[in-house]
Amino acid sequence: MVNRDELRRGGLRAYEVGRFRTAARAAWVLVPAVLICALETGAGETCACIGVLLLGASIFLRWRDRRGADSVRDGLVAGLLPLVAGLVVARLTPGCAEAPLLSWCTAVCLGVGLPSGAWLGSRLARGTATSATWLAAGGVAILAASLGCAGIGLAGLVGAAAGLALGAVSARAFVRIAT
Amino acid sequence: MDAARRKVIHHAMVRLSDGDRTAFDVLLDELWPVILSFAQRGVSHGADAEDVAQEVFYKICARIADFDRERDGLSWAFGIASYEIMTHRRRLQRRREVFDEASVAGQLDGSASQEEQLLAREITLAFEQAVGTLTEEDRVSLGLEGSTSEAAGPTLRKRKQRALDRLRGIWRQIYGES
Repeated sequence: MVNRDELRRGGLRAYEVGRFRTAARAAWVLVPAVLICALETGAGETCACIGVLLLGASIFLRWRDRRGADSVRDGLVAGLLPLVAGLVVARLTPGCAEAPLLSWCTAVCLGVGLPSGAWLGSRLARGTATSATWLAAGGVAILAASLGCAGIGLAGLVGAAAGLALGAVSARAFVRIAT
Repeated sequence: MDAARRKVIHHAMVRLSDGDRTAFDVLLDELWPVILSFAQRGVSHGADAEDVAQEVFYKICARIADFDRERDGLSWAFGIASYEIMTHRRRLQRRREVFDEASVAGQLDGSASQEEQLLAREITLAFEQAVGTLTEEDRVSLGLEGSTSEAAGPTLRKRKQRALDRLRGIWRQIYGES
């Protein structure tokens, strides 16, 4: 006769391992993205550092619950545009790496981050997102955007993060007013 | 299986796939007896059925993160259970085949020993035939007759040696060098 406690322990272990395995699938997207960013920007250490943070956060959130998994998905989608834009800017204007904080490089990243943040904000505001969800999705989006903007330097990172945050807050306010 | 229980199982699965660990005990209490009963119908041996049911339960738990909430949870669980039962049956079948092969090999070993016995009997017959052609004195010297040789010591050794040489000669004559 199978012992209930043993069955419960084994089942829970299998459940957590299964959740972790499912969560770890995020690596299929993130590891190539980090590699591309590292090769494209030449800022290997920064990309690796951001990549580890992003991968760790993504796996943890996806493992925790479905809400976390949704936050990761939304955050990655929102961060995709600033990521690509950051890579393009870094490729076209290598001078951005040494640009001051208040420069057109920052403005470009901020400009690209705004619509992404707005999309994320409107999406979260329409649902029943908690503050933890906002924080998780926003964090993932900023980290993803930072990957692309790593080659632009601190100006790029700040610009993208500010753009995303500003866009998200604006969209949230707009949705609240509209409803 | 009543619809209410089916619904409870489905909801527990949905909650677990959402990451709500508190639904685990509900799933264990409701699904385990169903899975066990299903396995018992599919697997004849009682202990094997429990093992298969346990394996199925662990597999369900491991895959529940990928569970599609649009599907019926119990049907999904039965799908996994059916596959596991089939795998178990295939494994049994393979084991039986291996066992059969081993028993056939054993039988072959038996027939080989029969063959060896036959060979030994033939050799004995051939030896008796060869011994039969020896003189009585040679047979006594070799100790193949009931009576013992009167000679002793070096004489008996010499006679024995000569008798053996003759026996070898006869053996070669009949069966060749081998």
